[in-house]
Amino acid sequence: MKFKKNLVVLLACITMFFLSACKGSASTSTIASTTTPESSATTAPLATDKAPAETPQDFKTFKIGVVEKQATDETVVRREFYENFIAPNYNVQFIFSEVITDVEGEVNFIENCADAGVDAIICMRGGTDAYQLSQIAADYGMLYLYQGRREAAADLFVADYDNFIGAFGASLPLMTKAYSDYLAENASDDGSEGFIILSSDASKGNLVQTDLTVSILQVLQDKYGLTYEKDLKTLAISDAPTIVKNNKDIAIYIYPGQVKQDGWLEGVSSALQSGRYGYLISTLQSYTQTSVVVDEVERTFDKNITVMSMGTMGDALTTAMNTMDKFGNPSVDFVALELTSIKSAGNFAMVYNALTGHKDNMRGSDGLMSAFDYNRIFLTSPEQLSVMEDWDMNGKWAVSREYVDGMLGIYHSEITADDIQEHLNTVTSYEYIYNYLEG
Amino acid sequence: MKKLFYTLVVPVSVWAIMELLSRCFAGVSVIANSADMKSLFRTLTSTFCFAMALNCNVPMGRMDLSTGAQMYLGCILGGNIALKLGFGGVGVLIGSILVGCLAGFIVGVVFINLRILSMVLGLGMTLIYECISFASYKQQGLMLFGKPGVGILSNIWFIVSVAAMIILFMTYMLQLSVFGYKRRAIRGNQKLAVDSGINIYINCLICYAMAGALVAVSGVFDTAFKGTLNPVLGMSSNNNTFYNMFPMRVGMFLGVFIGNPIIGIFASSISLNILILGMAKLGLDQSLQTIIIFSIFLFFMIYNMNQEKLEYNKRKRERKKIALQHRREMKEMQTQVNRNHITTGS
Amino acid sequence: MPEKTEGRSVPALRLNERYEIIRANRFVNALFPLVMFLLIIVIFAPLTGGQFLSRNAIISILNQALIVGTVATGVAFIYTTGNLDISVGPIMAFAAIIGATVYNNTLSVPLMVASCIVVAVLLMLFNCTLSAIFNIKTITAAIVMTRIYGAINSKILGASTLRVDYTICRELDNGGFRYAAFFAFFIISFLVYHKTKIGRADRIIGGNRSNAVQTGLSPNRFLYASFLMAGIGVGLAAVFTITRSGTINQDTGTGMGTDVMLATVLGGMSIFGGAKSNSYSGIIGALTVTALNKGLLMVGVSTTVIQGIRGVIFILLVFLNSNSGREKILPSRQQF
Repeated sequence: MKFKKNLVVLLACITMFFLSACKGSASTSTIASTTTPESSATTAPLATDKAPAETPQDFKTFKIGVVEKQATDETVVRREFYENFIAPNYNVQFIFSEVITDVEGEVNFIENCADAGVDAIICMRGGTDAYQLSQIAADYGMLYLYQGRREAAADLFVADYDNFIGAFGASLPLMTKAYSDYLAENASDDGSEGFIILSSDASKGNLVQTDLTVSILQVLQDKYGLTYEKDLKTLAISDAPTIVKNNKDIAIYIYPGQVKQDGWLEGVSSALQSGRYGYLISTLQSYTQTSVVVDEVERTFDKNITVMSMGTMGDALTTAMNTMDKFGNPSVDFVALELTSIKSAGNFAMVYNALTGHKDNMRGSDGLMSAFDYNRIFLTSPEQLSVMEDWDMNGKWAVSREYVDGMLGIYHSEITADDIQEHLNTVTSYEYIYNYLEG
Repeated sequence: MKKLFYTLVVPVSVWAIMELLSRCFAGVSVIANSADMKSLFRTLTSTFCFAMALNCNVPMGRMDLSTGAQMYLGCILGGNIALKLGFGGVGVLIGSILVGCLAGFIVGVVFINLRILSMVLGLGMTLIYECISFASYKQQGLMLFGKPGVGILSNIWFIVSVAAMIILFMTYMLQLSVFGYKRRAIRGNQKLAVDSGINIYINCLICYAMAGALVAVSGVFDTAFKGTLNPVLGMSSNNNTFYNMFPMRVGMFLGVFIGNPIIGIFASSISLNILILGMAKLGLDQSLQTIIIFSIFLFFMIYNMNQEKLEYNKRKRERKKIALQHRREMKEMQTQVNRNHITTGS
Repeated sequence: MPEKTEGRSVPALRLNERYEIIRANRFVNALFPLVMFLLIIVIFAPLTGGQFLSRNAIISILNQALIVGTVATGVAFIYTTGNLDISVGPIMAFAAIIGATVYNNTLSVPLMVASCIVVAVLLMLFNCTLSAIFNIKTITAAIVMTRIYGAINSKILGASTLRVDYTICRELDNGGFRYAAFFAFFIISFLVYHKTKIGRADRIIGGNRSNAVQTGLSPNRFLYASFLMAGIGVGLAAVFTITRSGTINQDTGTGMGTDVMLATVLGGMSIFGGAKSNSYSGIIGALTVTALNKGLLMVGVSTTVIQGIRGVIFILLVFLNSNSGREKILPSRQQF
C-alpha cells in the first residue's frame, strides 16, 4: 500500500513537471497573459480602419495558428523558422497544432485557437476541405489560408469571402518542365527501361499528387509519342496498381498508396523485382523508405534504377544524396526540393497582409483572392547538395527580410498580386538564393 | 513426423495457392529471386517477433495495448543511442532490445502495483510512451538508411540467425524452463498457482519484459527494411498490436497440433507473409488486401470458436448413421426370421 | 487508543482503512468523475486568466466532446455486459458516408438522420451476430471488423471527399439540433439503462454470465438489445460528424474506438462492466478529456507533451477510482 501511494505521488509529480517544464516560450503558444475580445462576431479582426503603420511594432501582437498534418523534417524546420525568424521580426505569436489528419481534428483546433484569441489560421493539410473549414474559421472571426493549389478548393476562388486569404502552392508548370528536362536528358530514346510512378494519395484526392502524376504521364506521352488506353486523370487517381497500356508497349506502372500503409513497400519491391522498370518516379518524399528495396534490386539484376522524388532539406536528404549504390550513383538521382522557409514565409506574408489591412493588395484581376506559386529547387547531384546542405538549418534561412518585406503591404502600399507573384518568381529561384546565401 | 506435417501444412498450402494464382494472373512466381526471399524473411521475422510478444501476455488474460508503443520507444531511444555511440546494426538491435525490455518492465511494475486491468493500463501507457518517442530526437524517430554498419540488419543469414535464436530461446523459456511451467500453471488458475507458492508477480514482470524486448526486435527489422521509423501519436501504435493478433491467434491454434506454440506462431507468420507477398505480386490494392486478410481471420475464428459444435454435429451424424444401419440390419434380420418362419410353418 | 463500547474495546480505524471505506462508498464512486471534471475547470480557470470559463470555451468543450460522448453513451450498454467493441469508428464513418450520400441525393435531413441510424444499427447488429451466434469474442470481432469496415470506407470514398452543403450544417448546429438530439438520446439511454429490465439484465450478465443464465436470462437477447442501443448512438454520432464540418473523408472516425474506451474509463466506469456500471460515464469522461486538452493548450503546454500528460492523468484517475484492493491475484480477462 505504501508503495502504491508513493507511485501515485510520483505520477502526480511527473504531471506537475510536464506542466511546468514544457510551457511554451513567449513567442509561441503562451496566451495566458493576453486578453482578447471574445471572437463571436463573423467579421475578421482587420485593422482596416487604421492608417497603414510603418513597422510591425505599430500593430498589436497578432496570433497565428498553424495546422500541421505530419511530423517530419519540414514541421520541425517550419516551427524553428516561425519562432526564431518571423515572430521576433514581425511581432507575431504562433500556436502549432498536434499532427492533424482529419477534419474533426482541424475543427477542434480552430475552436481551441478561437478561445486562445488567434487571429488567423494557416492550414498545411492541403486544401481539400478548405471550403468548409474556412467557413468554420469565419464563424469564429478568424482569417484562413491554406497551403496548396487553387484547384483543391476552387469554390473559394469564385466568390468573395471576407475571411479567406488565398492559397500558396508549388508551381506545377515549373515542376513539369524540370521532370521533362531531366527525362529528356537521361531517359533512353525508346523508353525500354520502364517507369514506375508512385502516385501516393492521388487516389484519395490529393490534388498535388494527382496533378504531378498526370504531368509525369504527359511528359512520357510527349517524349515517346504515346497513346494511352485511358485518360490521364483516370490513370492517375486509380486506387489499385495499374499497368498503363500504351501503343508502344513501354512499361509504365502506377502504384498508389502511402508509405506507412501495410504492404505498400512490399508491393513496390515486387514491382521492381520484376526487372521491368529502370525508373522510380515518386510524387511524395519516399527515397528513404525505398532505398533498401532499390539497392537490393540493383544488386540482384545488376541494373541501375534512377530514382526521382520530392523532398525537403534535412538529414534524410543529405544521407540519400551521399549514399552511393553499386554503380556509384546516389540513392536518389533527382529531387524536387522544397525549402521550408520559402513556403512558410510566403504563407506568413499573405496572412500578415490580410491582418494589417492589405488584403486587397492580393486580389487578382478578377477582384477575388489569389493563389500564389513558389518555385521548387531541383537537385541532381551530391555536389549541388553540398553547397545547399546547411540551407534552412541552424538559422541559415533561405529567405531574407527583403524576401518577406517585398511582399508586405505595410512597406509597399501599392503592391499588387502580380507584383507579389513576380517577386516570388525571382526570390525563390536557385540562383537568387545561392547568391543571397553563398555570394 | 506428424508434428512436422502440421508445421508445414499451412505455409505450404498458402504458398501453393498463391503460387498458382500468381503464375496464372501475374505470370510471375511468388518467390522469384533472392530479393523476394530476403524481403519475405525480413517481414516474417518482424511479424513473428511481434506475435510472440503478444503471446507472452494475451493468453494470460493480459491484453496489453501498449505493445506497439513499446516498440516505438525501444527502437527510437535504443536505436538512436546505439548510433550515437557508433555501434552498428548489432548495436542498434541490442540497444533497442534493452530499452524495449525496460519499457515492458515498467509497464509490468505499474500493472502489478496499481492493479489496473491490463487493457486499460495499456491505453494510458500508450499515450505516455508515444509522447516520449515523439518528443525525443526532434520528432525524427529512427533513421537507419545510410547509417554505417547497419547493412547487417538486411543480411538474410543474420535475419535467419536472429529468428532461430528467438525460437530456441522462447521455446526454452515457455516450454522447457521452470518459468514456463509456472506460467502455464498461472494461466490455468491464478489463485491455485498463488496458493501453491508460485510468485505470480515475478512471472508477470518477466512476461512483460520479454514482450518489450521482442517488439523491439520486430521494430528494428521493420525499420531496416523501410529505412526509417517515424513516431506516431493518437494511439496509432495500436494498429500494429491489432494487426499482429492474427498470426498470434492462428499460431496458437496450430501450436496445439504441433505441440509447440512458438513453432505454430512461426508457421502462421510465414503463411501470412507469403499471402501478403502473393497479393502484392497480383497487384491488388491495399484495401482489397486488408479485406481478404481479415476475412480469412474472421472465417478462421468462426471455425475455431465453433470447432466443438462442429465436432459434436459430426459425431451426432456418425451416431445417426450407425443407428440407421443398425436398424436396417435389424429389419433385414426380422424379415429373414419371418421368411424362415413362414417356410418352416408351411 | 481503543474505544470502549459496552465493556469491549474496539480498535480505532487507521488512516488507510478510513480511506478505503470512503473509496468504497457508492456515492463517492458515482460523484468522483464529476468532481474530477469540475476540478479541471477550477484549476485551468485561473491559469488561463478566466478565458477557460468564457462562453465560447464552454461551448467548444461541449461541441468537441459531443461526438465521443454520444458514442460512449450508447456503447456503455455493450461494456456493461462485459463485452468490448472498438469498431465504432469505421462504422460511424460508413454511416456518415451513407447519410451524406442520401442527403446529397434527396436534400432531406430526416432521411439523412434515419439512414445514418439504420446503417449503424445494422452493422452493430452484425457485429453482435458474430459474437452471439458464432461465439467469437466481441473484442476479436471488433478488431477484425474495424479493419474490414475501414477498407470498405476507403474503397467507397476513393479519390473524393464527400461534402454536405455547409449552410445546412450550420443551420442545424445553430438551431441546437445536436444538443437536442444528444439530450434526447441521453435521456432515453438513461431510462432504458437504469429503469428497465434491459439495463438490469446487462449489469447482471456483466457481473456473472453463468449466474445470469441460471436465473433465466438470455444473454444473447440482451446483447442484441445492447448493440441496438449502441448502434443508435453511433448513428447519431455519424449525423453530428456530418453537421460539424460538412465533410467526410478517409480519416473520419479514426481512433474513435480507443477514444471511447478512454472516455468511459475516465468517466469512472470499468470497460468490463458489471453491477457498478452506469450510462453517464461516457459523456463525463469525454467532457473531462476535452476540457483537459483545451486547458493544456490554452495554458501554453507544448502540443508534443499534451498527450503524455493526458496519459499520466488517465492512469492516476483510473487508479484512484478503482476498487482493486490488495487482492492476492492480478487482474486478468481472457479476450481470445
